[in-house]
Amino acid sequence: MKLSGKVEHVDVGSGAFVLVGDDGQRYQLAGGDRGMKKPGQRIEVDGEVDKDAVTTAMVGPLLRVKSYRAI
Amino acid sequence: MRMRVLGLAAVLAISGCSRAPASEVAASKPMQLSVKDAPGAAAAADDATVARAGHDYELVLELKDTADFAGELAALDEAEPESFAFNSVEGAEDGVALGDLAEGESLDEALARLRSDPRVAYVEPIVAVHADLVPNDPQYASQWNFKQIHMEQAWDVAQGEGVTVAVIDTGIAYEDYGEFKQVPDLAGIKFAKGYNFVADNEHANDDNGHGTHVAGTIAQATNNKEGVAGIAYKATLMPVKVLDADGSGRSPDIADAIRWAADHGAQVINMSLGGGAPSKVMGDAVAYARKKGVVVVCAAGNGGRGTVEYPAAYPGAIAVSAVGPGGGLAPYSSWGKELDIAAPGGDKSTGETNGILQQTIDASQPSRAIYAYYQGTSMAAPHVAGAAAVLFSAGAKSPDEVEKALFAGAEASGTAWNERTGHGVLDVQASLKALRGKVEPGASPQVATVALPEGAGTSATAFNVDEGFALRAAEANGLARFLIALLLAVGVAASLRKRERGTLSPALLTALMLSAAGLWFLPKPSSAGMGALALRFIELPIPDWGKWLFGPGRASPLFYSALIPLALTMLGFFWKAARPVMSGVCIGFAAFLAYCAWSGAPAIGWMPLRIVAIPWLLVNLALCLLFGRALLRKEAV
Repeated sequence: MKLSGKVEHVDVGSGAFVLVGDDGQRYQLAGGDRGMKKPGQRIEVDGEVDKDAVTTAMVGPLLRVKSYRAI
Repeated sequence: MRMRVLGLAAVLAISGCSRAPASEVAASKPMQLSVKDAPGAAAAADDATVARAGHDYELVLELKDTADFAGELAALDEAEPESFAFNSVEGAEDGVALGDLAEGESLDEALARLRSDPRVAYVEPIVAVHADLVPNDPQYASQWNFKQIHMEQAWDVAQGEGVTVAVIDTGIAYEDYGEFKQVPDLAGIKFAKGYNFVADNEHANDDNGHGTHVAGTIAQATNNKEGVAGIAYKATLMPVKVLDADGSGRSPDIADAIRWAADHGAQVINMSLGGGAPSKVMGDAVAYARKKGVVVVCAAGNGGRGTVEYPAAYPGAIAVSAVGPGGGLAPYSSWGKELDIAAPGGDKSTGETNGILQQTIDASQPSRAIYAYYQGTSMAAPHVAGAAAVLFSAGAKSPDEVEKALFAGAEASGTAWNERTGHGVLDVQASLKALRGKVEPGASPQVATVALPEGAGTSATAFNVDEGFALRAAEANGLARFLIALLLAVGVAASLRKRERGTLSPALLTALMLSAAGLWFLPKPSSAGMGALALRFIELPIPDWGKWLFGPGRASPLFYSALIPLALTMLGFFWKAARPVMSGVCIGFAAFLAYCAWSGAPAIGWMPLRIVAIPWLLVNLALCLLFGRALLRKEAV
C-alpha cells in the first residue's frame, strides 16, 4: 500500500523514526535508508503494515518500507 | 541490671534517630542489639548460658511456654547440632535464645529442622541491622527514579538474591564475544544461560542498546563505585534476544521466547516491547509462564493514548505505564483498562536528566559503553520487574503474592485503581511491608481518592472507605456506572405519564446492573471451562463483552453502540414479558456509554476520540434511552 506523510523522530527507548501519515495515524518505519530518516521530510512510502511486528518503541503499527520517495 | 536496661535503651534511642525502617527493624529485634551493641550489659550477667557479647549469632528463637526455660534450652542444645544460649539474663524468663549453626550446616537446613522441633515456638535467621543503603555509585545521585520508588529503604531488606529475571529484548551487553563486550557496570552481575532467537544461537548480545539499558535498571552493578545502580543487583539476569538491531521482532518468536524463559528457570520476565495485533500464541505463552510461577511484566506502550499494547494487555501480564519525576503520567505513556501499575519511565520533555539513566551501548558501535538517559514505558517496566525480584528474594512464594504486594504497595499512598496509573506508582518499600503483612490495604478506615482522567470535569472524587472494605476503582467505576444507570432509569420513568409507566422491577434493575456495570465484584476465574467462561462474561458490562469476542484491546464500536439495545427492542415488540429486562439493558447501555463519554477513556476501534468517538457515544446513548423509554411504556410499543 502507499502512504504519504511526514517523517518524525520519536525519543522513546533507543529512539524510533515514524511516519505521521496524512490520515493522522503514526507508523513506525522499518527498512528504508538514512536518506528516508530525516525528521520533517515529507515522503510517500510503498510498504506493508506488519501486524505481527512487536517493537521496543511501541508508537504505532510497524510499516515495512519497500520503497519511498521524497515529496 | 539497671546498666543493661540503660544500655539497651540507649541503643534503641540511637537507632530510633535513624530513619524509620531501621528503627522498625531495631524495634522488632532488640535482642540482637542488646548483645551486639551493649556489651557492658551482657557482661553484667555471668551466667554461662547467656549469649556472649560481640559474637555474631546466626539464629534467634523463642522456646514454647514452659515453667523451666533453662532446662528446656539445655535439652534443645543436647538434641540439636546447633549450640544455643539465652539472649540475656531475661532468657530464663522469656525463653528467647540465640543460636550458632553446626559445622558445615546451612542456615536453611537448621531453620527447617528447628521449626519442626516441638520445643521451639519460632526461629528466624538474624538479619544484621544497618542503616538504609545509599549506593556509592558516583552517578547514583542522578537516579531520581530510585528515590521515587523508595529503593534505599527496600535495599535494606532484599536485593533480588537467588532470583532469575529474563530480559526479553534486543539482548544484553553481558559477555565478551566477537565484536561484543560486556559493559563495565554489569561486571560481577550473575547471568543465566540465555538465547538469541534472532540469530538462533546462545549469544544474546545487544546490537541496539535498548535491552542493556533495561537490564541495567533491573540489575546494574551497585555499590561498586562505578556508574549507576540497579534495583535487584543480586539477581541473575537471563538475556533473551528476540528483537533485532532496529528494535523490532515478531509475535511468534516472542511467544517462543516467553516459553523458553519460563522453562529455563526464570521467575520474572521483563518485556519492554509491544505492538501489533493480538496474537493467541503470545497470549497463551503469557498464560503458560504465569501458570509456571513466573511474574510477567510488560510495558503499556508509548502511543500516549488509551490503549494498552500487547503483550501488556494479555491477562496474566502486569501492564506498566510510565510517570515522570513528579509522579504524573508521562506524555508518551499509553494507559487503559488493562493497566496495572505505574513506574518511573522518565519525562525528557522537562529536561534530559529527567530521563532514566543507565549504562548501555552505543548502537553504532556495540563494544562502546555509554551512560544514557532514556525515556519510555520500556524504562518503567524493568522497575516493576526488579521490584518483583526483590519481593521474591524477600520471601514471596508465587506470582500472585508478588502482584498483590506490588499493588498494595502502590496503593499505600492513597490512590485507588485508575486507567492512568493502575493501582498507583510503584513503591518497593511499601510493597515489602505489604508482603510482610505490616500493611493491610483497606484494613483501617481511610479515604481513597480515585484519580479521574484529565478533563473529566471534576478534579477528583473521594470515597469513604469503611473498615475492612477497600474500594478499588474497578469497583468504583462499576458502582458509578450502576448509579448513573439508576438515575437514568428514574429519569426515564419520570418522563412518562403515570398511567403509561411500568415499574422499576427487580428484573429491570438486574438487567440494568448487568449491562451498565457487570458483576465486577465476583472473583476472577482462574480455571478454564464453561463456568469460568460464563463468569468472565457476567463480570463485565454487556458492552464490554466484545472484549471476549474480539480480544481485549480496543472496544468494538458495534458493542459500544445502540445496536444490541435496538435488537432487544425489536424482540420486545413480540415478547411482552421480557420488556422490563430489555428496558433495563437499554438504560444500562445508555449509562455505560454516558460514563465512557464522560471519562474520555475508551479507545473505540480506530475512532479519533474527540471528533468521532464522543459524538458516536452521545448519539447512541440517546438512542438507548429512547429504546429503554419505549420498552418501559405499558401501552403499545
